[in-house]
Amino acid sequence: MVADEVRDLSGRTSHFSQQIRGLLANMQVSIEATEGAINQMAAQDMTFALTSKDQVEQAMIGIEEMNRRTGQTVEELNHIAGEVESSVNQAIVSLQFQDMVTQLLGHVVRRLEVLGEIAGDEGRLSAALRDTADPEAALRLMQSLSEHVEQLSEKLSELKRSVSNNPVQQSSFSSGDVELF
Amino acid sequence: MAKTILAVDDSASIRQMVSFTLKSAGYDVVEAVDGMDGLDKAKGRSVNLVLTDQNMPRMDGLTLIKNLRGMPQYASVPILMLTTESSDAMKAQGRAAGATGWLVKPFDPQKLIEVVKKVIG
Repeated sequence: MVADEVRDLSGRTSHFSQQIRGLLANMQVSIEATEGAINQMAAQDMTFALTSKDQVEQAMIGIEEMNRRTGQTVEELNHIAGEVESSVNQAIVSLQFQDMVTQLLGHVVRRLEVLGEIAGDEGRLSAALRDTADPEAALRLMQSLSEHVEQLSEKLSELKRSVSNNPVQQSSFSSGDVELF
Repeated sequence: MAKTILAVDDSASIRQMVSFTLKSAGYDVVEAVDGMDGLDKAKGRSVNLVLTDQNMPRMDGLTLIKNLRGMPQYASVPILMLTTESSDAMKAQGRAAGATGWLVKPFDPQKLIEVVKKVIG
């Protein structure tokens, strides 16, 4: 009786042992599969991280280049702005000279007009004297000449005054002085 | 609020250049074609600085200064002469008439702005 129970127990133990071995084998397979999956995931994460790192590095290089070019452009623009400002200032000074020359020319034209009038009068008087044979007429012309000399003197005085009223007194090519009282 | 400058000169191009220079520095500019016009325009408004030429038809710069100094509202307003005249005698006359300073043409735009800033800020 006892021997039967012992045999039965032994048989069940053997059965349980087989079941445990089977379970252990299954677990081993599952663990191996899990390990494989973990390794694959790790490999994928690493690739993604490395690719991202490369992309970030490329982006940084691009940004640095863009930054360098922007700085260069700003520098060039500053240089151009300085040149434009200098040219505008030069143009303003030059235009003032042009304005002064125009005023001077007007002044010279007015003086020449007076000189032209004087020369015309002298020419007419000279021609009249030359063509007059009558002594009395010549005398009258001489009197006329005397009066004319007085008028000439007045015209010359007027011319002298207009010369002194020259609107432009600048005598150098540099821009003018500044003096605060 | 921008300060107002009265620019008096019989030359249109000089007025234009003065106006351009001062406006670019942030000032308001009122232009007048000679001393008489300048006096009329000064009467009708508040001006912070007068910039005037000397040789002009109808009324010259020195006469304009004397007239302005006779007006209470312009007794202490700075008046600068901007002219081709540069003799000491003329400068002395300007000073006696009440001019604040003397600038000889052609003016350097940068220098003009510096002087104006120094005088009225």
